[in-house]
Amino acid sequence: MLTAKYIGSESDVAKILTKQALLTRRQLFNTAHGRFGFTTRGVQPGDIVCVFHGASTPHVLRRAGQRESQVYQVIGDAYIHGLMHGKIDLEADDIEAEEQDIVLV
Amino acid sequence: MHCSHTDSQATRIIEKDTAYILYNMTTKADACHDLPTFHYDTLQPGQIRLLSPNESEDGLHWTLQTVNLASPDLKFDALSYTWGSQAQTLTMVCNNHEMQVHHNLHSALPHLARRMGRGVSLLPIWVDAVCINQADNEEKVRQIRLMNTLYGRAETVWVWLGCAEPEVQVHMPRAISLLPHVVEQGRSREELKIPRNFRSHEVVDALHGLEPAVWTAMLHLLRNAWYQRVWIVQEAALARDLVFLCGENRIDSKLLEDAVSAEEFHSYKVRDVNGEYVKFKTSEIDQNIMFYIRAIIQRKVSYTVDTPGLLLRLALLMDGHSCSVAQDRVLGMLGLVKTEEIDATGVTLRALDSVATLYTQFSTYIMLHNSPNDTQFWWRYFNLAFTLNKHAGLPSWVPDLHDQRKTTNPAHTTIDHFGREQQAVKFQASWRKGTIQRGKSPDELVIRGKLLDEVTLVYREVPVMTSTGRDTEAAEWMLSMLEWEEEVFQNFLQETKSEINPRTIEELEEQYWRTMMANNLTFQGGTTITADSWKVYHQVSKEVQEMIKREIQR
Repeated sequence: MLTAKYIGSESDVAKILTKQALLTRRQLFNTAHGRFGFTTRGVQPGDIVCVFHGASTPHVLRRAGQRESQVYQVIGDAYIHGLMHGKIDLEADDIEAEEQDIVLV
Repeated sequence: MHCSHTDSQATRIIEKDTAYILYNMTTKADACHDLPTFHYDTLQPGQIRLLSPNESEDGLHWTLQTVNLASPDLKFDALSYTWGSQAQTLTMVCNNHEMQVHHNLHSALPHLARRMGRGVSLLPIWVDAVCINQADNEEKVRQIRLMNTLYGRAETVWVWLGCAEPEVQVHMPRAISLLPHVVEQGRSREELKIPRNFRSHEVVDALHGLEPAVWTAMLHLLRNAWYQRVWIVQEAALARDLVFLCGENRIDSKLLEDAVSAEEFHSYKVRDVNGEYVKFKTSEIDQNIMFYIRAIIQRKVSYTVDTPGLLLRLALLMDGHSCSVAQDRVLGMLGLVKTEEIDATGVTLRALDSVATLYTQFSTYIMLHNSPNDTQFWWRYFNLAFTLNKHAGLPSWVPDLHDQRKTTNPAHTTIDHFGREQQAVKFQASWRKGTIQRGKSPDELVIRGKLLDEVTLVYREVPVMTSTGRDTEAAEWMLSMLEWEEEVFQNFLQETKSEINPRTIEELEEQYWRTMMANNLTFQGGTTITADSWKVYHQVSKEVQEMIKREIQR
């Protein structure tokens, strides 16, 4: 295969490239609190990172409607480093934010 | 054969007192028949139509009668089949009128007329293309409510698997007799603890040296287009008695189920009668799905699944199944809901409802009646919703169930999938109890959670491998990936340097490369990617980019 020609098929470099291929059709982003991750293609600055209660991954939302109306569209599920394994506690978590009912449209 | 020599007949009837002129016009469509076109009457609520055959010297004719489904003496069979190619229509005589039906159904009719019924007389049979007025959307939608009752009440549900090409069909009895050996083959593999899908697996003697057409016949049975159709799951699952028909051959459904479950043809190493290795493709869908749902409905499994749970599983399992219109994705599953419980689902079943309304009502039902805490499938369904170019009008949280691109696009995996490769990495962002509620309007869903951060910078999209047909396209993709990663890394370092809370270069880089791999660092064979692997990657990247550029220019 191609990699064998340039970098050796068993090398770590080839393995890294294989993993990166899985990111096809995704987009990486930074956040205001210094986080780094990726989600569905089309994510934009201003989109909101959220963690729903009980969810396996964080999600990225986008404000819909007027700013006061507080309804959101879901853009996609996300990998965000540091958020993928929550505190194992049914009653509390260690995310510093208010919990709220999030309205999705 | 009746042939009329004129295209139209005019009949004048002159009454004694007044003159009535009646014109009795026949359709011009088929000059060789003089029968008028069939027209449907209106069905009252709770009524269905049933077909009965009449064989006479004029050939095979049919009678269509209207009955009450609730009538206690009523006994009937039902047919499950694919409509198949819509290109050709053929004539069927029904109530002495002509009706046009598609090829696959037409080929079934003579065999249906000769079914062995219970007792002496043949039971009337329900066939959707004929027994429902397909031109009447209101009637179609009303009949869907009756599907659960209808298929559950049928004495036998006959599955028509269609006739193969004549040169294959002639081998069908042989193919059926070999199915037990396919079952035996699967059992022997299990006993020998050979992994499933392991290629080059030797097979039992009975399957060696067969005519290629016999294999084609077996594939016709075990990978029939029928399994792929959305509607068949509910039709076959609800059947009290299920019988498969292929031409004039009957196949026992238990034998077929066992053979479908055991079938792993693409892993067989077997030669045909000409000494050639038989080549197989992997199956496009899992043919077992229908049997699995049937086992649950017929209570052949030790666990119970309620209706919302069943529909949730079906929605996840059937993304590879096909149906011709988007509405069928949901309508084809609603038969699993008891007629008297359909209203409780919130699916209004109005003929004029849009696809968006139907999908939204269905998703609302599934998501409110299954708990995100009790089943892994809840979030898996939720995460189906993020495909691009969804059907118009769908809320962001409602999946486009008709979008089959995801089955052909391996790149559309959910984030969970990245973690599933290694159990240790399995993701769980929150262990809190999930809470889902209705919103103020049908388009809203309310989920409890936390908003904690905001996206500030977005990087260039990951390059897609495009098929240019050039033999350098793989090299070009690799070059674009290396260039892309170099650009992302440079931008990342710049962006994160300007932070209020400074971290060491090692910490920043670790955040970077772990994310690039979704923290999935171990490979088969035991190698683990480390910070050093990435240092090498960055060093080598520039050299390889140059190598590829030179190669492409040649």
